[in-house]
Amino acid sequence: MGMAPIIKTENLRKYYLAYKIGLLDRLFGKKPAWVRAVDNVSIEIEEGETLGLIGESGSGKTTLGKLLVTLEKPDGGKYYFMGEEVTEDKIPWVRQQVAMVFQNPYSSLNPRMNVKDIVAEPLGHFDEDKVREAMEMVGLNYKEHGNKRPRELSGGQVQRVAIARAIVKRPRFIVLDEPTSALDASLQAQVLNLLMDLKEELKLTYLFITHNLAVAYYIADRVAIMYAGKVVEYGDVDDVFKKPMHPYTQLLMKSIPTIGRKALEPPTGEVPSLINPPPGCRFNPRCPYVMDICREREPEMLSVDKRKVACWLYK
Amino acid sequence: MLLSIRNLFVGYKTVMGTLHVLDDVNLNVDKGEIVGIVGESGSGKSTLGQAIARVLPGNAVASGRIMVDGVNLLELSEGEMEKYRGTTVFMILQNPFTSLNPVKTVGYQLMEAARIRMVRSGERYSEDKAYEMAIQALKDLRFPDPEVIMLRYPHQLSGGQIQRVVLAMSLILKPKILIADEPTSALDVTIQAQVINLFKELSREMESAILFITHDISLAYVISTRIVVLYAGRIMEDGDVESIIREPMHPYTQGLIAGVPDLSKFVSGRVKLQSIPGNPPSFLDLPSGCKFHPRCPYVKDICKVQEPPLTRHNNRVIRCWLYGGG
Amino acid sequence: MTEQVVERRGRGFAASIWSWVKLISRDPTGLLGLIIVVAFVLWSIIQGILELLASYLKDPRLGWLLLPYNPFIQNLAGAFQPPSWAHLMGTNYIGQDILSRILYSIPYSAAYPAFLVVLSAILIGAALGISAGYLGGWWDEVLMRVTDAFLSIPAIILAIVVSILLKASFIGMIYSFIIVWWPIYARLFRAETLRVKAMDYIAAAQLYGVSPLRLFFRYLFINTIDPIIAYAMLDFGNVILGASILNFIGVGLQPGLPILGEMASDGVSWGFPKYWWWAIFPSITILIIALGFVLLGDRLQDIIGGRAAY
Repeated sequence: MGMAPIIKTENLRKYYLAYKIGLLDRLFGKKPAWVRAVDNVSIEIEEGETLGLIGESGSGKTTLGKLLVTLEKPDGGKYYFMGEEVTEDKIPWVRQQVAMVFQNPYSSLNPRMNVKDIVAEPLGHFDEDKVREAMEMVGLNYKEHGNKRPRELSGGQVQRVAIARAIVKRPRFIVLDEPTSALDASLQAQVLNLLMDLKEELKLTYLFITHNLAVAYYIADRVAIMYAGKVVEYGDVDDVFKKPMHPYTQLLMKSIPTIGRKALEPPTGEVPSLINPPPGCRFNPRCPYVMDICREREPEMLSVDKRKVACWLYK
Repeated sequence: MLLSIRNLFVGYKTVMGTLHVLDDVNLNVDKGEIVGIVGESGSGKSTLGQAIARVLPGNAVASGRIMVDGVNLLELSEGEMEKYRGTTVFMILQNPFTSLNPVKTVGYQLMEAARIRMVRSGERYSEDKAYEMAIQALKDLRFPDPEVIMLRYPHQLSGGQIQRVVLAMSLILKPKILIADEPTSALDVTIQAQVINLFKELSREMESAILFITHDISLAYVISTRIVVLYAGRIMEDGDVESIIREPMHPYTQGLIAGVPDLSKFVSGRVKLQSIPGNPPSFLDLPSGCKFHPRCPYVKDICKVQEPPLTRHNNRVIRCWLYGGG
Repeated sequence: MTEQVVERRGRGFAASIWSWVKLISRDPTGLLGLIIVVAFVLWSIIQGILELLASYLKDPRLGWLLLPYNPFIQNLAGAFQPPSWAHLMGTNYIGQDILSRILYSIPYSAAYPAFLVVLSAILIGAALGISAGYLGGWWDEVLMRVTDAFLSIPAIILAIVVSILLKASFIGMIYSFIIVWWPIYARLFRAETLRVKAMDYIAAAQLYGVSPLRLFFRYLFINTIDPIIAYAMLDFGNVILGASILNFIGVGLQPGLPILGEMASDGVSWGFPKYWWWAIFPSITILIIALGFVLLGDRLQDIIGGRAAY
C-alpha cells in the first residue's frame, strides 16, 4: 500500500438547484434554493486502499462518488487526483484512469448492446483480447456470454459485466456505488470476494459506497460516515466499528439488523432537509447527547488519535 | 391454527407455456406468530404472499388449499373474497409510494379502513368513531401530530411515514392474517429500524398471524419467531428462528447464512464470506429432482433424480435427502 | 407479473418477428389489423416494383399486370355499370374498371404519403427531440415553445393552409404534412430521452468518453424509439386519412392518375346516389386501410405498454 494519497479533496462542495427558475419566477424575484448535497467534504484516499463511504439516502455519498470520477463538477473546494488539481482541462485525463460501477446492474448497461461491446466501450475501439481477458477475470465466458444482451443474464452476471467494463482499461481508481445492494444474498458474497481479488490483482484503489455497515466492514480498510452532506466520522475500519465516536455512527450500528441481537435502537426523527438543514450540527435534532453549542455552531473536524470526528463532544 | 396452507401450487400462463412457480407449499401459521419467509428474488416469495391475499395477476393459476377459519380462500369467488380482504387478510407492500391512493388524504383512507372494520364487525358506522380510531392508530405509530397527518396527501409524506400509515391501517383493520412483502426494503437503515420496532410492538397487540417476506436474513432474524426458507418456489426449511439460524440443516440455508455479511460474524475479525456457487434457477428451466442440487456441496445421485418431500425432524421441517425422506 | 424476469431467449431475428406476430394475433382485432397492414404493404411494394420496372423498361403494361383491367382504358359502351361479376366494383362514367383503379392508386394515394411523412417526421423529430431532451437548457426551451405553437393548431387546418401556400402539388402536400407532423415526434422523443438520460448507462458512456455521434445513435436513438414505433403505426393511418381528406377537397392531386380521395370526391359530386359505387368503394378502401393501422397500432401500444392480456 503506497503512502501517497491518490485522491484528496479539500472542502469540496456540490449544490443542486432545488427547482427550476423560469423567466416568470425571475420576474417575481423568486430566490433559488439549493440542495446541499456535498457540503465542505475533505477526505483522502491512499493508493491501494478501499475507503468505505457509509451513509443513508440524502447523505451525499453518491454525489461525492460522482464528483470523484468527474461525472459532476464541484461548485467549490478543490479536488486533487494523483497530486494534480483537477481543473476543467484535466477532466479527460482523470477519466482515462477512473471507472465506476453503479448500483442497479440492469440500468447501468445499454440494453441494446451486446456484452462484449459493452465491455469494449471504454477502450474506444474493439479489442477482443482485452475484452476476453476482462470477462474471464470476472468469471464470465467470452464465447458463451459475449454475444448476449443484458436482459438474457441474471443479476449477478450483469453486475460482473459492469465490473468487467470497469476494469477493461486498467484504471487506477474505481468508485463502486452500492454494487451489491441490488443483488441477492447468495450473490453478494461472490461479488464482494471478486472485487477484493481484483483489487489485489490489478492494484486498484476503491471508493466503496454503501449503506450496509456489515458489507463496509468486510471490504473496507478505512471508512468515512456521511450525514446530510457532511463527513461526520472518518478512520480505520476496525477502530470505528469497535469504538464508534460520533453519536450518529453509534446509532447507525444499533440500527442494523444483526444476528444474535434482537433489539434495534435507531435514532428518532427523519433525515434532515438538505435545503434547509438544521443550524449548527446537522444531527442535533436527533442526537441523544445534544448540547447548546450543537444547535449554534457546526463542529469542525477534530483529530482524536488517528480518528477524525466532527462532534462537539470531543472538543 | 389460523392459517393452514396445503399443497399450494401457483403457476403463470405466459407466451412460452405455463411457468411453475410455487409447488408443494405446506405451511401453518398460528396467531401471534411472525413467520419470516426468506428467499431471494426468483424464489417465489412474493407470489406466496399474493396467493394468500388473492391478488395474483390475471394469468396465474393456483391449486391447493389456503385454509382460514375452515374456508379455502382459493375457492372463494371474487365477490366473496372482497369481504375477506382487509379484515381477514391484509397486505403491506414494498413500494410505499404506490401503496396509498394518491388522490385521497391519509385521513380519508384511514377512516375508510375504520368503516370496513366496523361494518364487518356488525357495528353501525359512525364518522366520529372512525375519526377517533384513525387518530389513535396514528398515535400508536408515534406520529407527533396526528391531526395534521390526517389532512396530508401521500405525496407529502416520506417513505417511512407512508409505511407507518399503512401499519396504522392494519392496526385499525386488525386482520387475522397480515402479509408484509418487503415492507422496509425501500427505506433507509435508520428509518427501517424505526418501522421494524413499531412493527414488533404492534404485532403483539394485533394477535394476527404475520408473514414477513424478505430477502434479508438478518432482518428476518430480528423480527421473526419462525423462519421459512424458500428456494425455486419450494419450502426448503422451516423452523424456530434461533435454532434455524444457529443450526441450519438444509445446505441452502447453510450457504445463505455463511454468505450473508452480518456484523455478528466479524466479532473476532474478518471472516471470509462463503458464497454458493452458481445462480438461482429460472422458472423456465428448473433442474430435475431437488431444485438446489446443481449448487449443493453434498449432492448425491438421488438428489438429481427425485425431489425430496417435506419431512419433520423434531421441530424442524426440511426438504433434503440428507435427512432421510420416508 | 412474476418477480422473475421472463427472458425471451435471443433466437434470432426471424424467431422474434414470429413471436411478435403470435403476440399481436392473440387479440382478434390486432390480428385483423396485422392482416390488413401486411396486405397493404405487400401490395404497395409489389405494385411499386412493377411501376418502377414499367418506367425503366418503358412498358407501361407492367403497371397493371396484376390488375383485372387496365385502369386507364376507356370503354364507353361499358360505362355506368353497377358492381357485377365482370366488374366487381362497377365501372365509372367512361367505362374504367373501378376495382383496377383503386388497386392501382393504393400505393401512391396511401402508401407513399404515409411512409414519406411519418419517416421524415420521425427523423426530424428524433434529431430535434433527442437533442433537446439530452442537452436541455435554452435549446430545449426553444424547441418546447416551437412545438407548443405547432401543436396548438389542428393538424389538418395547418396542412391545408401550408399546402395551398406551397402549391397544390403532390410533393407540396407531402412537405406541408411533414412540417405539421414532426412536432409530436419531437415531443415523444424528448420525453423518452428524459427517461433514458437518467439511466446509469448514459452516465457510464459519458465517463468512458463515448463520442457524441455514437452516443446519439447507439445509446439514445435506439433506446428511445420503441414507443415511437407503436405510435407511428397508428400514425400511418392518420396520414392516410389526412391525405385522402386533402385529396378530397382537391389538394395534392396528380393529373392523370387516379387518386383514392379524388375518386371519392368525384363520386360524391357526380355519382351520388344513383351511381353510388363511384363514391362508396374508394371511401371504404381508405377506411379499411386506416382502420388496419389503427387496430395494429392500438394492439402494439397495449403490448409495449404492458397492458396486453395473454
